Amino acid sequence: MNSPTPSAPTAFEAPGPGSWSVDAAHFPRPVSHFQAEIHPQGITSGFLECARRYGLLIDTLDFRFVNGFAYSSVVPAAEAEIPARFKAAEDVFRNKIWREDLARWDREVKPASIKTHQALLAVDPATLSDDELMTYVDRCRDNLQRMIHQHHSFNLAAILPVGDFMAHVGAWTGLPMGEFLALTRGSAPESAGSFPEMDRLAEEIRNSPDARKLLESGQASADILERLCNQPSSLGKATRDYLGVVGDRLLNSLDTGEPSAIEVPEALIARIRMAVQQHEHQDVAVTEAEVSRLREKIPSEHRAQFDELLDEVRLMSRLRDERGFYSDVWAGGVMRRALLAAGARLAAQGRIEAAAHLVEASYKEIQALLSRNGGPGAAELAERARYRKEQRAENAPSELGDPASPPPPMDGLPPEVIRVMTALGTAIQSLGAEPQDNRDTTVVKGIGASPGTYSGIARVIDSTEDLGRLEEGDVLITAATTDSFNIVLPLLGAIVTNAGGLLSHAAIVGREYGIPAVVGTRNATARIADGTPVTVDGTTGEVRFDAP
Amino acid sequence: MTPIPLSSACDEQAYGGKATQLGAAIRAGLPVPEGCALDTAFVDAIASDDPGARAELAGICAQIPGPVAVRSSAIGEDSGGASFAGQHATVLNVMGFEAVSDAVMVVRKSAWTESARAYRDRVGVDTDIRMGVVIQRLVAAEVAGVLFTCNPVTGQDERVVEAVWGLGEAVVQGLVIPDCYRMDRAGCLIECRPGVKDIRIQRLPGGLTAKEAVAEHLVEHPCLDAEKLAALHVLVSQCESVFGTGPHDIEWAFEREIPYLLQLRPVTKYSSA
Repeated sequence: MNSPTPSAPTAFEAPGPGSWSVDAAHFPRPVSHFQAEIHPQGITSGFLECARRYGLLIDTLDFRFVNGFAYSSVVPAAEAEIPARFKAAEDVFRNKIWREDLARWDREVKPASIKTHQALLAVDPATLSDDELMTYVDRCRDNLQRMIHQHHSFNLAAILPVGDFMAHVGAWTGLPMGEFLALTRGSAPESAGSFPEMDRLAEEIRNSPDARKLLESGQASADILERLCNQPSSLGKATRDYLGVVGDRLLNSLDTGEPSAIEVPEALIARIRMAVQQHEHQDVAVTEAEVSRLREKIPSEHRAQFDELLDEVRLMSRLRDERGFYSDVWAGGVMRRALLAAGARLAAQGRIEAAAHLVEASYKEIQALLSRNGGPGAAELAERARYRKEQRAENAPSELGDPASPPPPMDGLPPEVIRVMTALGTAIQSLGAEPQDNRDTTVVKGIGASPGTYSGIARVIDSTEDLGRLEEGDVLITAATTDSFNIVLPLLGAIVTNAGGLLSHAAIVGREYGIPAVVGTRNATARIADGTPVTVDGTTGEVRFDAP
Repeated sequence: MTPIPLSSACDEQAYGGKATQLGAAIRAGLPVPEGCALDTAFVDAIASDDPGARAELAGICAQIPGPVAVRSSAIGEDSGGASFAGQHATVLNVMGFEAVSDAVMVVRKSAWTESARAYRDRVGVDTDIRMGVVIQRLVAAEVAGVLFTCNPVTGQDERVVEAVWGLGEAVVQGLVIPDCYRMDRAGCLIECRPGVKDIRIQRLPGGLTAKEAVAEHLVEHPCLDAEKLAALHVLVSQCESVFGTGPHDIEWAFEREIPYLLQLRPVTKYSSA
């Protein structure tokens, strides 16, 4: 049976004056209590640090969690600070000050961070006494707080050059940015998941027929990893080194409440397989031909500047991912390891249901639990875990507080300030959040795959066994249409899917049958409740909620 | 009742639409993976366990080294009126005679599923269907997908490409949101919209295929670069010079950077229903 989508909590209040918008890109789900307490401070202070140096007209992003969902509000710079900002902006492009940041990152910040994380990882928390463990949790938490600040103090260095590049290319050509951004491919090995430890492991596996066979065997990923680790040869060491660097990083999140890489062996194995194959089949670097083909599309008088801007993007692009990987993504994983060790102790005593539930507690609650001095009950923490698992930011209001006002006009500002702010705006728009229209709550957007408009009742179907619920004229809402859906297609008024493209069998058959279809919505099954009246426009790719 | 090399398949009434289309493509020098065509009578003989037919099929399997794809090639399939898209089975990564023989049976039987019957009723095609089969070397695709030589939604004269990591079944089955690229007739990119390719279909070492998670950094990374798009432009231009301007629905794959043509059929007209 189709289970109804859980509704978001109803009470959402703006966390302060001004207008707030949800950050679903970085925090698609509610964050853990543990993270929510420490995250905002680091973002705000880190951002402020670079706002001053880069001459921004804003001070920072005020960042708060409401019912676990991330909301941010822009804080404008104080009037008195503006002259200093104008002055700072003059230096930004003239001296390419992001290069100083990169040099400092490589020389001091990154090596120091690695050292700190590794020192913390050298401690096995399972061997500590309860008191020592609490002290260790404190150390990990202090480290994580510093690392959140560190991450955001490099925000501008990481995104300003690419924003500046995109703003210029956009103004010169009006072309979509995807293929221009692809020119930075290969210059950020960390984004491609490639770094010395990964390369060495891939090389070892390529040279060992047994290891390759093991990697391609259908065995469970955890078993494959374990067997690779236990190899007596240099292969075993390469595997352990690789896991030493990536294993204790948060896999795909900035929240300590989400799993580290080592907890999801399937992802690690997929990454290793990819690295082994990539070397054989793909040259990931951008070819000269590719650069010159796109360069041709730039008006000739701007090509010299195009080259110059592209050089900066390629120089800086690795910082975009490195600043997280080596800062709070790693520190978060180290933190999680400590909390899981403490959680395991509490779970063994039956005081919490699962070790991982400890991240659902606030810092004070953790202190209370570990010192056996009260703290929340097991059921309470389990409930918080369930809430985080079920809720999605797409169900939270996209805006809170005052209606968002358009940014103030930039006429009359110094040109350097306009350039900084335009670059920042361009980068945030295209790299960070989803496009605004995706947040419109009255419409679900996808790809129009079969033209025509149709209004009817939405039927959210999870599995083929569920197809019996369809009635003539219904709008089918489903994750993907396998070929077994063909039998019910003649019944349908329209089709809406999460996955799929224009050329999938379902889209082709939809067109042959003349049934409007919208595919590739990502989340229609979560956003559209069973039984809702909707209108599907297969030309524009929109699904609108109708008044019942 | 004789299987023949795919390159010799000309008789649509015996070998079916897909086999004769691919045969013509091979004869014109298009990069189609080698293989053979089984006529409908031979397929029926395999289904009835005819010893002579089984011995012959075993001989064919011995000649094609490595894994194969077993595809439907029904009489009347892939015609201008109805695409039969996804109606009949394709079995990928089949190894050895026993597995090939089973796959031939699966493909033959797929003409008789409730779904395929419903489709034939709807598009008004003769319900008594006969099934030929194509057996081809399996292309171990790193990137694969589908290309239409017209925009299937707007009807515009342009090339629409959808691409995914791994085998192209993930596009035709609509398993993921594929990358979408639009090119004009000269091969210039009009639009590149990266998809969300969180799953890929991968060959299993012992045969057949499985869905697999895609490494996170590749999920939204475009899987075609300028070189591959240019190679597809060349491929589609060759198809048009052999088969006319269509419009065509082409399945393609890259194996070790080399493009292959896996299937070519006409784009069906919109229904007026």
